[in-house]
Amino acid sequence: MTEQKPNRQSSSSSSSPRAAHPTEPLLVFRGQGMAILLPTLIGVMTFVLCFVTLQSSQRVIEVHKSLGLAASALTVFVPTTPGLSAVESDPAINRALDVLQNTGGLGRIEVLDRPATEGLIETALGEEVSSQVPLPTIITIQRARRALLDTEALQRELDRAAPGALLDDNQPARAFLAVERTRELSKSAALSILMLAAVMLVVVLIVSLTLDLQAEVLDVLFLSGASDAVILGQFTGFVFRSALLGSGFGVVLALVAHILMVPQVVTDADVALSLHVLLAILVFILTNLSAVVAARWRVQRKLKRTF
Amino acid sequence: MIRLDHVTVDYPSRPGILNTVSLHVPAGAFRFVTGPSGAGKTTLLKLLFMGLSPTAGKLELFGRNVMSLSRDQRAILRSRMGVVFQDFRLIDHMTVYDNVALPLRVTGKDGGTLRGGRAAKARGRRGRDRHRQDGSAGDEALDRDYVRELLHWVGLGDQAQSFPAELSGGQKQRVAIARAVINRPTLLLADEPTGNVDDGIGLKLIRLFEELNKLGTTVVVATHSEAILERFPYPAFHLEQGQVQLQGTMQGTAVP
Repeated sequence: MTEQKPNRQSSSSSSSPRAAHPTEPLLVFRGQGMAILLPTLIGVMTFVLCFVTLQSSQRVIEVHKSLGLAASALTVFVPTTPGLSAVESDPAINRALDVLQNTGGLGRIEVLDRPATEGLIETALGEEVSSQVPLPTIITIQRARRALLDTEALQRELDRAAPGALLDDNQPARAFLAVERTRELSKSAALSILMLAAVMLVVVLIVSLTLDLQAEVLDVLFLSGASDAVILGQFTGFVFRSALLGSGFGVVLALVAHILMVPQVVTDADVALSLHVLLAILVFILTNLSAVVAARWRVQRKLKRTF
Repeated sequence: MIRLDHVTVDYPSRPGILNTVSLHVPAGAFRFVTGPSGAGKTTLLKLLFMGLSPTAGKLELFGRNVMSLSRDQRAILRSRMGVVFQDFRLIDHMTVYDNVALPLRVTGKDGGTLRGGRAAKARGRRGRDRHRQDGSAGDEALDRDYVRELLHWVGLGDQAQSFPAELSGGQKQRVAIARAVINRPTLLLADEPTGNVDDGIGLKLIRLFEELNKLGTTVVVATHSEAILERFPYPAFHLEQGQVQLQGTMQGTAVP
């Protein structure tokens, strides 16, 4: 041991073969197989989450489009007056058409011809039954966009003009589609929560393991005057980088897989690729956020309990 | 520097490990803490480096009531201390140089290379500015030289690139001492620093603490080594059954 004392005003001219700056990272996750696997684990979970979300959103888009179609179309069934075969000569149909034309919020009104009517009725009732019932006249109506329409009042008007006329606003189909849409969204939300919880759980387990293995490093950092933020940074930095890498790959793979499975995402403008990209970005952000929040929570808890 | 006023520390499994202890260590003093195993020496030191909060009583460090400080404020106070343990607590995967430089990095005095980013660099600048205001050297290059200089001082100038596993017990403890003083602490706490080294090395280590004390650092050393207490006649706090039984040297000279 030399007798030289530490001089607080030392000169800066002394030399060393080593690059003087301390650059060795603390590597708190050093040598831990689980920690090395973290990007892969997060990547796989992000892939599943993103792929399922994209597939689900695709289904929601389709249900939503069907719902729009169902809501925009009305059908009126007018019983045909016995003995009058031509539509033009049936006063009930003419009165019904008058009512429809004088109703606000309706767009194109079309009376189906006999072959089209037969086709529809046969499809609904079967050939045998449809041949035994008198064919009604079917009027299809396009609702104007965003127009308010009181279907009950219209039904009453039609009933007065053409007794027995029936207005169908696709209510059962719309109700079914609305339930389908809610079910799909709920399923997607539940799976998202589950997968994000799984990401958090994996991060918490790995950080817990590290905190136990590196208890001495933690002590040294604490005793060296490191603030909580510095100690947290050692853990969250690694987790954030792992999450960034894993979720980046996961999201890109999921997007590619989704496009391969549903090519119209790219070809059909209505399917809205941009919406899918936005969803993928959202999954990416949420995954990273979950991982970092979980790591922060675990380390903070440990710090507060230990020191 | 240190003032304990009727401080009690209870562990769930062992209440009254420290029982209404009052003591005062003035700035620039050298004090031993003695007592049998389990008397509370380590607990007292833990209290002093704020690794533990008192169950009751008042603890003042650097003239500030510790209990009223936030965690960040405590970390700042802790950066003014150095702590040495019997089991060295060196980081095995880091070289001797990096182990010694670690406190500079975690307190942002190395220019923010540990934390990275603008905020860390700003913090590093603030740290250096604070040092300049304190009148001590705060330049980053000076800090780097200081690491090398400290390694020379503890006799390990040629071991900067070694890893802890390649060192003897005495060498490891000297690295731990260099790390403890790298931040130019005004208070040095050592818990059985000679416990894992032979007597000859132990005496040399205490001489290092003496040299630091002569430079103005307050030193508190917990030990049960009779040889050291006889060789270095500094006042001692003797802990027994959770209380400070005696204030004075082993020769019995009472210290007020």
